[in-house]
Amino acid sequence: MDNTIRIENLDKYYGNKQALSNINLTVEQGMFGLLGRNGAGKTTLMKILTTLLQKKNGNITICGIPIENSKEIRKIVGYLPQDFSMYPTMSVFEVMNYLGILSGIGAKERKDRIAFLLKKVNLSDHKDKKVKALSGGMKRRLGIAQALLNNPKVLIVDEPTVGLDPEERIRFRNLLCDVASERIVILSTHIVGDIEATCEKIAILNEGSILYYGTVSGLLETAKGNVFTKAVDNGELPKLKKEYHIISMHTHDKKTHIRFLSDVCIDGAESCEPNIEDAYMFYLWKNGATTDFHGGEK
Amino acid sequence: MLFLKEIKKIALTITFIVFLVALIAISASQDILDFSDMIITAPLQLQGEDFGIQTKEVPEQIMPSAFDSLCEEFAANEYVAYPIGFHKIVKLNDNKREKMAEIISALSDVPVDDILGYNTDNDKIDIELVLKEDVSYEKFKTYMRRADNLIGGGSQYSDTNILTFGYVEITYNEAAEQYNLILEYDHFTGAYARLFCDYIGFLISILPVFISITVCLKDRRAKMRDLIYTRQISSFKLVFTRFLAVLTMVIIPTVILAYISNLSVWNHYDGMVLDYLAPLKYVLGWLLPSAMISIAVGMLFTELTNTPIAIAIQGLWWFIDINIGVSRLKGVHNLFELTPRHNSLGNTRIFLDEFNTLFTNRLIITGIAFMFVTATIFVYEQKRRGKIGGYGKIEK
Repeated sequence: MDNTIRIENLDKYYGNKQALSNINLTVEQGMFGLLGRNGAGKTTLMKILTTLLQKKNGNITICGIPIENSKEIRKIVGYLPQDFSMYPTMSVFEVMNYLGILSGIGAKERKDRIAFLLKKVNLSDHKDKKVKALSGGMKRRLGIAQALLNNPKVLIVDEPTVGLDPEERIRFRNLLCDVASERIVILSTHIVGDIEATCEKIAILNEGSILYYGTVSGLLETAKGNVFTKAVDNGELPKLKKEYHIISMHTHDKKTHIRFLSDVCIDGAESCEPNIEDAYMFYLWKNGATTDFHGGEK
Repeated sequence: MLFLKEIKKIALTITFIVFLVALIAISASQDILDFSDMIITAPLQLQGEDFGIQTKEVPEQIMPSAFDSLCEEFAANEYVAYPIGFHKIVKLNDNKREKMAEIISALSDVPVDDILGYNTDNDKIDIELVLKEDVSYEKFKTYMRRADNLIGGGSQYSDTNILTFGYVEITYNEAAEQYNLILEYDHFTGAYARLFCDYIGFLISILPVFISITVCLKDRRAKMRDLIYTRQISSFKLVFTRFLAVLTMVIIPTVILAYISNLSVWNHYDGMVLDYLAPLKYVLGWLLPSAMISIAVGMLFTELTNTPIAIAIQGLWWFIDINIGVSRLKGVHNLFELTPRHNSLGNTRIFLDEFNTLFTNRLIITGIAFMFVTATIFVYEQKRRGKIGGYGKIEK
């Protein structure tokens, strides 16, 4: 059985505007991160993979099934959209039961599956609670549970941690890693930390095109020797902001400690080990995908 | 299982509760839940017994009455008409007025100029217009048809409306025949069920559209569309199940009300053979197609536009149909009517005479409803695939 998503030469247009351009990706079992800014085309790609949108050109197969065969694709794909909710007056169990029926799961199996999934997402104690009474994090966890109802070979989650507090975010990431052990999970996000904590392979999408496709360690490797730190006086900051791409800064002992990208080391700066956020910003910068991120000031 | 879930979803909507309240309140206000004051009895052949009046195609009565009416309307140059069911006063221009004068002239032998009110000195004259004696009924109807065309249709002189000039008293024999038909064909309960359907039909052909719109918009409002679109279930199964669920939720309370209404007279016919299934048969045969088309229009246009525009579409059809229906209250039918009328208790002869037209009409309406449901399934599947609907537009 082919446990791979293959995307070849994918194009997508909205009218005359090209949303995706010549996308080529191969996604294998495990967690795969799709990183990109808002508007990069991540949601469009997710919706094409879930048959909610039509592609213009290219070929896509999911576990060997052509994307055009939407009936079969729907059987093996689970989807957690970015912006979703559920019938507010239904209870957690009722909404799972309803969606389970729509997934064609038999009564006995459905009951067992719902109990298993609610336990897995830690919502067993809330199964009689109305959807409208759930917190944001609980709703997201319910979202994952519903996406796993049909025990899909492929799970697609679009910006799942937006709006969650740090504790819920960590819990959610762990949940994703847990379910990724037996299926393909595509995690689309603009939050670099989500990728860092969960994915081995990633792609960076920018303005509809793939900027990077490979491993997280490969991405880190590209940024090595290009990330520096330096403690500077406040008076120096405006000049440095203009000349270098500052990723972060914080004040300590009357000095501002900056972290920045550069091709060469400057006086008083120290080269440091890049993290994935540094590498991501470096990749965008090197590929002309961004020019101005002067310490957060545009 | 899905069917029951959809039923439960509908039952908990405010729209359905409003539908129920409206159905019960209007049934009660129209006095159709208790027919005990309308008991049908056998006619008695007594001297001077009044059995009521009826319209009948009696040329000797229709021709002079219709001619007199035409002359009066001509003199005032104001013709009452219901071209698409709406009451309208038509005024003819000089050209048409002259043509109308020619019709009156042909039927009375009075010169056109005199009818138009002119003589050679251009002074108005008083004339008496009397229908010629040698005009055949067929020829008279031809002239009336021309008069109706000049008015623009829907006047009192159209082929169907001209019969209203033929009111005659019902004879004992006719009353006895009517009673026997009610006894043998309707078994009494059928007559009451028919009258119930006449009253409730105008609700059943409009209110269900609100329920189907609610059902179709619910997924979008709850932001559940993506979760449902990506499920394994076929669009056919989902849309058709929802259609059946709404239909069931409309028909069940209607059947219950039909039985409440019918039960009110059962004990008045002790010893008679009653048709206890009549309320069910009439609701299914008479009202079901109206409910189906109302629901189907709601589903199709809501899925197509993601708006409640179906209220306007169905509302317009309903409004026109209701107004046109005024001219066929007694049970005359046409092939494309939305709400069949039969605003009398009994009158079984007309029902039987018109049965084939009514049956064909109900089949046509049912067929159109299924066509609309099929179109809804197609639209729904295209939306699921992002071929039509909001996903085709630019999104962030």
